[in-house]
Amino acid sequence: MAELAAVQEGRRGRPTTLLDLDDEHYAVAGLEIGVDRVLSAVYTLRGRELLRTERVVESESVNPRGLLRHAQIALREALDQSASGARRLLGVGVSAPGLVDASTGTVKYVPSLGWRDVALRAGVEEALGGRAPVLVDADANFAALAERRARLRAGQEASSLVYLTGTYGISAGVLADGRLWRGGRGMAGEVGHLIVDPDGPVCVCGRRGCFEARAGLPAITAEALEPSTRRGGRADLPAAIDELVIRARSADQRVVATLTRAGTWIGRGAAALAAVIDPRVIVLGGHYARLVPWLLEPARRAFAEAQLVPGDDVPALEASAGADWATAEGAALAVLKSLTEGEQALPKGPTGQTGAEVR
Amino acid sequence: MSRGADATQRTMLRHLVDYGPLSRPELGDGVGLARATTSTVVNALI
Repeated sequence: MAELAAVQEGRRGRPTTLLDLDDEHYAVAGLEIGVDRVLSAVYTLRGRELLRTERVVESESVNPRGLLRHAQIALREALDQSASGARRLLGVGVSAPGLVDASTGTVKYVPSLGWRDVALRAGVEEALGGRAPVLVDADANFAALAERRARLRAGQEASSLVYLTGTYGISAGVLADGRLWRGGRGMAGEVGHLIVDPDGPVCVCGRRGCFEARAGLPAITAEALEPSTRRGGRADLPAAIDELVIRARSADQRVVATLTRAGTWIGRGAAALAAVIDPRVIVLGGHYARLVPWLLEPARRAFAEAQLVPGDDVPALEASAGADWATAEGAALAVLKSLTEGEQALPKGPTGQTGAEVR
Repeated sequence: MSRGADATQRTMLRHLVDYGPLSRPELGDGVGLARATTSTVVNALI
């Protein structure tokens, strides 16, 4: 699973031998099942991308069976990609945008999809024909893992972190001491339906004033864009984000005012999370990352105002660096983590070399 | 492989996954592994 590579550091002296993950014989795959699309990616163990696909799901197919069909196609491509490079697929991570019981691989509830108790892992395992282990988790948890690695490699704080997804809903991936914090029932982080404004608008869950009814992207686009520019159904959220960015850049007052209000609600919601979890950093990910130029400052202001003890040592509110593919990348990374954490047996080395030495 | 060596392998792999490639000094200083331990474990990994 690892290999040695000689690296010449400077012009003189013996080359340094580095130990690194094997980049040739294995692959890991990540699948993000979203409300309107299935993203899939295959990586080498070092994180080199081998395949990336995005399938937009028509609204009539937004049901467990329809989304699984798209996921199956994506999985077949991942298997083909691995096989064509004679790589062994070590596993597939699959995310869903809602409450997930990772221990059983069951999607408990996704309000935006109307899913309840969907046996996602079993469905994906069947599609794979048992050719690779399958991990299922909430999108925010996987995205938090990808964010953690990116931050570690950039020398940034990563052990105590909350990753807020901004997709059709809002959920949080919580890392405490560098590990995912799942809570007592394994479903921590479903913050989108935290009631932040009891007199606020009705949410998709049927209640009033949920965090995502105030700061979720469907709420933002509904408020900022005329119906004719919302481009119809929910499959068009990325297009609506494009439109928001274009208009915000041209200082469209309605759009900028809506983003400022949404940023304020994000800051208030983030402050509530900070009060409970006390992370070092809260990261705005998903589609929020594209809207950061307009969301972040009002969010930071509201966040600072809500602190019980204001000052420099409050948690940082920051934008994610690699938001669009963070969930799929994190899903693949979770497969590697399952090996390093002892949840899966390590594969035997493919080369059978002996006498290796790291200098 | 013994349980201890398996745990050492996983420690190394965890570091590689999180931070990227490792040199000998980093195996000692960064991961905290003794030289005598690592050669066998590296051989088993590659």
